Amino acid sequence: MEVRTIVLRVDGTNCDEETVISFKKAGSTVDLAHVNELIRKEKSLEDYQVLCIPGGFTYGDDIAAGKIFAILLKYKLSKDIKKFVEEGKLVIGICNGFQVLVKTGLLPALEGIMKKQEATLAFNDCGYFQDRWIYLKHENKGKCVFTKGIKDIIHIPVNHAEGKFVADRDVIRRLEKNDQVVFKYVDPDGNYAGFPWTPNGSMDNIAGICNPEGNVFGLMPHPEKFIHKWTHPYWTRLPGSSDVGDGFAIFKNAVEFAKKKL
Amino acid sequence: MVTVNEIKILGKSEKELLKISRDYLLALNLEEMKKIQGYFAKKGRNPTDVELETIAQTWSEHCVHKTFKGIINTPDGEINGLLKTFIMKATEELNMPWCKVVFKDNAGIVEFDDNFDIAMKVETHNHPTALDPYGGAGTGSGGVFRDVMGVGAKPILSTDVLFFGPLDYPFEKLPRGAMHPKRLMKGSVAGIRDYGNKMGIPTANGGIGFDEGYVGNPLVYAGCVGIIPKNKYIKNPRPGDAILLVGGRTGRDGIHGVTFASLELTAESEKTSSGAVQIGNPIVEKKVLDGLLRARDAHEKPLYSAVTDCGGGGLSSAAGEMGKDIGIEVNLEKVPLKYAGLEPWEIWISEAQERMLLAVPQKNVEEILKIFENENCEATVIGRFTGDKKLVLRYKGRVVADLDMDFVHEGIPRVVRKAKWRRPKYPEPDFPDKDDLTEDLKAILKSPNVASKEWVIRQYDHEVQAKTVIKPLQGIKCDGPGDACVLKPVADSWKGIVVSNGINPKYSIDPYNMVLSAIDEAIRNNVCCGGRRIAILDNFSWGNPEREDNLGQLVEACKACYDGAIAFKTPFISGKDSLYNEYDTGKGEKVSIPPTLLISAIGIIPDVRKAVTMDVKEVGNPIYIIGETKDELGGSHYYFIHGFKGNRVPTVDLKKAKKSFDALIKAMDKDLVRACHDCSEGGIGVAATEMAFAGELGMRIYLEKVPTSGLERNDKILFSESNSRFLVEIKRGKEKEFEKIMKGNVFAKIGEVTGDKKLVVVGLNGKIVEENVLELKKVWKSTFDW
Amino acid sequence: MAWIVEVGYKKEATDPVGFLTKKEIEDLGIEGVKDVRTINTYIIDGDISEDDVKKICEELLSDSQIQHFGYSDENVKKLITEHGFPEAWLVEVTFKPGVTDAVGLSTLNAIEIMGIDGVRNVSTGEKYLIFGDVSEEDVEKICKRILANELIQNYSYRKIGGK
Repeated sequence: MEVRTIVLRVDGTNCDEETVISFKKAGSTVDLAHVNELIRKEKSLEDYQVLCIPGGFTYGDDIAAGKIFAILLKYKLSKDIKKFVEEGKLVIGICNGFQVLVKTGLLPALEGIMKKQEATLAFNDCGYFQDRWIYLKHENKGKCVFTKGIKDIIHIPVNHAEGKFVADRDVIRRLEKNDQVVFKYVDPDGNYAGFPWTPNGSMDNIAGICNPEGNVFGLMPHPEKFIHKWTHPYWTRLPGSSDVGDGFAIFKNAVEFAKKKL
Repeated sequence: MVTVNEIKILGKSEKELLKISRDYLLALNLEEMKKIQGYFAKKGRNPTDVELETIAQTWSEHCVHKTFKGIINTPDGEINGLLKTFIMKATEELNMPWCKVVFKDNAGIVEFDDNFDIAMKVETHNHPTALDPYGGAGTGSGGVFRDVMGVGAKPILSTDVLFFGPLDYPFEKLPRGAMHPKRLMKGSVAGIRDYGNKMGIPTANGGIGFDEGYVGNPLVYAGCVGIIPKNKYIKNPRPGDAILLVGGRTGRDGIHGVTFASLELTAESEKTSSGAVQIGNPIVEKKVLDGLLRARDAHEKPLYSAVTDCGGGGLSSAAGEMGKDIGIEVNLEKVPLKYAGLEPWEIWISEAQERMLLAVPQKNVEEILKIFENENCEATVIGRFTGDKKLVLRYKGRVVADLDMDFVHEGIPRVVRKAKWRRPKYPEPDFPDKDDLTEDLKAILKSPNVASKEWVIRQYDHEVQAKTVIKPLQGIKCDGPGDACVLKPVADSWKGIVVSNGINPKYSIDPYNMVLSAIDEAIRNNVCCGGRRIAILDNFSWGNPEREDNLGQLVEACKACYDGAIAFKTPFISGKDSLYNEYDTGKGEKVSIPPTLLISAIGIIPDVRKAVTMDVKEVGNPIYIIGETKDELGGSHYYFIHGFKGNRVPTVDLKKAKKSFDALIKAMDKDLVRACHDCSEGGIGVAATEMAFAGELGMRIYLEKVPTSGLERNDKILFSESNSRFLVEIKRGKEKEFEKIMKGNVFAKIGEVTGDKKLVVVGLNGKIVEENVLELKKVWKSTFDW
Repeated sequence: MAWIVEVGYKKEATDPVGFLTKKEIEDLGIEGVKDVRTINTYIIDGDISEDDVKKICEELLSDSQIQHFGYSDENVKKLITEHGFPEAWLVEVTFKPGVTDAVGLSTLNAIEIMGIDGVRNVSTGEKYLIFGDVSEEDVEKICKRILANELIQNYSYRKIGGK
């Protein structure tokens, strides 16, 4: 069965090209669409099984990262998006996309889909944009559709200024209890650690979470930046290592799930 | 109330003409003013302010490169245009079939593969940065991105080279009105970061240097590489085509930017030139880019017949340039404004950012407007191409300018300047060599020019677009300083682009050899990663060319451009000059910056999987040096930390250099080379240290094995900055094969990679350096531990 | 009329720009600064009800996880008290007229997306609360050398007490 993915862009989206390539490589048909095309109903979410909000600086991250795009989705497309999520279709937000999902209330969505903002991604503690490769420990016990069977620890980059995961203690407890925590930042040995291994100061080293159903997933690091070996920062030291990058599994999982179940 | 003034120049005396030029900030000289006077005398009327401004913009140094095209009288005879005589001449003589568009559009274009071409451009944005580092450096990036977009290419790399005064410069000593170097640096970095990161263009290459000569006048070089499908480059506006203005709105920002660039910075600049500040908004430019690429790719042929950037000189330059062979008619009241109250001349020359002009055949106008609407990007038809070779501007129906394109573009009188320069003589250092050079090595590692710039690099997104396969930070901990970056621009091709830079103003005591050194450095950095078939770009930042000595140095530099390009077979494909980089100390004294030339190199690599990084990989592998080490420490970092300049700067052996570079590439293609690093500032000492600590392995080298021109001092062998040299790590067991390939070149095995994490340098009479590489790394990182 | 909205970080939330600013002040050799907090200011100009302003503040301008908002000096005073200081230097930096205010334009756009009519203009500014023992002369220096570029920005400062 054909899997159709929509990669949704708006003013300031800038990781769309590599995200499209990643989904295509994973076997999906991909439409790169401006949100205006959905608002004008030239395209419809109904035609897709996977929705991806890629990285970028939507609206310049003015006011706060992902904020204005989140407002736009809430005011113009919330009905369609709610239906999409309720049908169990897949939504992934990467970096700026994650910020958007959190600020629309699509994640963690403890109280329901797009009901309220329950967490945030605040400015990095170091005060600056950070581009660095980090290690993520897969913490999910099976709920998150996107990371089933993924390696215990993956190595991919972060490229963001506002990625510090912040929420009430109670929210974080519930995330843990619900198996909604997907990735945490660790050091190369797999231990939780502070800067630079946790590049932003995230509470409990949280890097990515999913919704209670596991079909909506967001993360700050960029899996689409590492789908083949040659974007690894020191592949020249690793002759004979796998040609496939650690980030690819996430796209593959999404497409495989959609192929079978949606 | 909008007004158009007639400016009375007919019948005015020379003195009065010069006063008009000054009063209106036109930066036109007497001869030019007289030429304009003559033109309007024939027309039998005075010019309007719009007309006079148009001519001033078009004739500005920024737009026409008067100095580089002018006649120069030197003690050795007349030079009929520096550009033609040296820089473009090299390109013409080399006549490379892969050079597609050189020296005639916004960016140079070379071939990439059967399906794509590559565009590259490097610009300076020194003056705006001095006034507002964040906005100035940011819009420097924004401008150079638009240059690449202006040939229809998609930007895929941003590169920035910055120079500031010393970071510890005392506030009290700053020239009046100048910002502190540290603030300038932080602001510039933030501006470049936000513009590039927000537009999604990776900043994966560049450099930052410091020198007292830049205290009142920082340098910001912004470069951009783009990629364009082969059949998509078009520059062919036709009579009847609409003139479409897309992107940001027009305001008073940046008025007189280009004429301001031809005036020196003074303490008053801050007050009189607030209009010259440009405020950037990268998201607006991103929307322009998104729309432009869709207009380009909607059908087999682009929907536009030409596109260009609105940069220096604003609409005046962009529309004038695009329509110079056919003529244009523009209705200025159609230009969308940020706020009301702009005079027609202000609309016409405003340098408001994020604007581009497209020529669009009438039948495509509707479709292209839809495309930009979908991007939430403003697009407005403001006029049309006519065919009468005139420049006609109207404001609400009234003609406010009516000029002949030929006069605007060809009327400028050629400048005639005098050049004369004599080499200064600096004291030769007389301190003795030492038995232990570890502390000297650390002092160089700590020096801001050499020290780790990780604090900066990590703020730049160097991997957005996922094309960066060799990154600026290399090695096992991702912190070693790479020589070049490599991009893999096309998803289903292994072919790559290699980008690097060369610059060293400390060698400006000898401008000819400084330039050869910059060319050699840019190319050898490119070669370090596997780059070949290299094209280069020149970017001059110089003092006032009306001073004979400054111009004399410029002549020397241009001669070296020709000699270097020919010897390395690397054509110039684009260039830029920023002259008048000098500032007033406030005590009536004028200080020029050191003559500075940035050479940017763009090469290709057939298979990125063969690319090489600088970090050592494996214990037991031999280390070789390629190239000869000479007594060339003039302007070196070793002399600098001891308070000397010296005189003998590094030279280039034009016959030998290219041959050895080619051999090294051959060895890389055979997978013999595990690591390669160039020897530049700090010579063998710094190169070996960086390779070792990037790989977090030890290295032991023997200076007696280094091929030298009879050097007998350890410090000179270790720290000489002779050009055309590399340190390479070769796979153990492949020595013979490597030596066979290198035969006929100067090279030698000088040491090996060791497992003890120690850098050991054995001098001519025993150990002269012994230190843990992690300790050396710590020292190197300490300077910018902000 | 114009509403002056101020958005500041809650006490328990980190304020990285404030932290970096403190470091820069120390770099200048000025001692005595205990803390620096930043406040984003939005001046919303138009015919708009208090309910709508509140909605804009809650949904758009502030992030309830880490920030609180208030009008005029209200929030500033709250912040001072929250941090346990009797008073602070309040520095205000705004764009000069004619300088493009990108965030202001984006904010206006977002308010339109929310379906709220009547807003003519939004302009933004930055406020800094400097806590500690700092002389007026030093505050002037901080403004000139760190916080404002007089070519494009205006600055002013005053001492202000808590609630």
